[in-house]
Amino acid sequence: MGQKEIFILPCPTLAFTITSKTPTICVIYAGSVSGNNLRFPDKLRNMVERIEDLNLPNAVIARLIKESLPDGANVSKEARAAIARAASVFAIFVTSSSTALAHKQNHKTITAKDILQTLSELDFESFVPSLTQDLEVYRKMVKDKKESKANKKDASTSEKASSSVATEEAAE
Amino acid sequence: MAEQGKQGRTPSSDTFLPLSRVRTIMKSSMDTGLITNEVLFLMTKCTEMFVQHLASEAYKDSFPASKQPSSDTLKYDHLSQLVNKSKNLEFLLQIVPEKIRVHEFQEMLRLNRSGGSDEDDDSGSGSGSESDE
Repeated sequence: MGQKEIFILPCPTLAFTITSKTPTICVIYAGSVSGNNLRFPDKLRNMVERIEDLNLPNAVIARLIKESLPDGANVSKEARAAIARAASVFAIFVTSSSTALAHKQNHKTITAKDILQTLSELDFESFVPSLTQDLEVYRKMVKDKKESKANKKDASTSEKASSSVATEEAAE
Repeated sequence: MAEQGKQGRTPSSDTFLPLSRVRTIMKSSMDTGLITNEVLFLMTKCTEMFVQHLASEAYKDSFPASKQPSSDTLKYDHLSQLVNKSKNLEFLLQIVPEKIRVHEFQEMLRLNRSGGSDEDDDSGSGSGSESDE
């Protein structure tokens, strides 16, 4: 346990324990840990000024939840808040796990592959197929965008190019 | 554009959650290096999927097989139950804990104290009453 480092966020209820092997996230309740074994990293303090910066927008969360439930189902406020919180933590959890994975392979930055592999390691294999599809679509979109930009530059004088770009965008 | 929809869901390059927010969240994790747009997109997407996964699983568990349009309400307890029993949601155990009563909590605290560690001596401000010592 000696290797463990505890970071605490500006909010008394959220803290992260990060070990080199398996990142875990835990909540430290206010007053349950005495102050001297906590370290507040400068980087983090600059990054997140307010704890609300880590919350995901309520309206979007509410819409996503509604989409996944049968018609007529309701969600209590408390449940929605819990899901939003869980989603933030999930994102942090996956990020730190994939960072660890990337580091293990001597890579400095995480790649899409790292994330997909992490997800299946964390027992979320069911996400991988649809995410792979999304990624393909995304890559294609980025490529198209690049190409259309290049086209625009090439034929900036002729209106034909720009109109074809416009129809392309409309088709999407 | 893409017509192959699996599981009633068409892959798309649209995200609902704000990318900038997800980036902030990712950065709050330690030693996250550079975040490419692709990674950011993927993370946003999988967070969205996670939200829907969590909601629909909790709902399915709590209101099984009622086919007629129901008007049930998904409550906090359904979520904490799901978290408690799913192996892959273990990391949420302390984020979405099961609710307990205040006196149960105080009982736990007392047991913890008598359990040996006097590490949290000066933590009285949180719990309020410290009559035992």
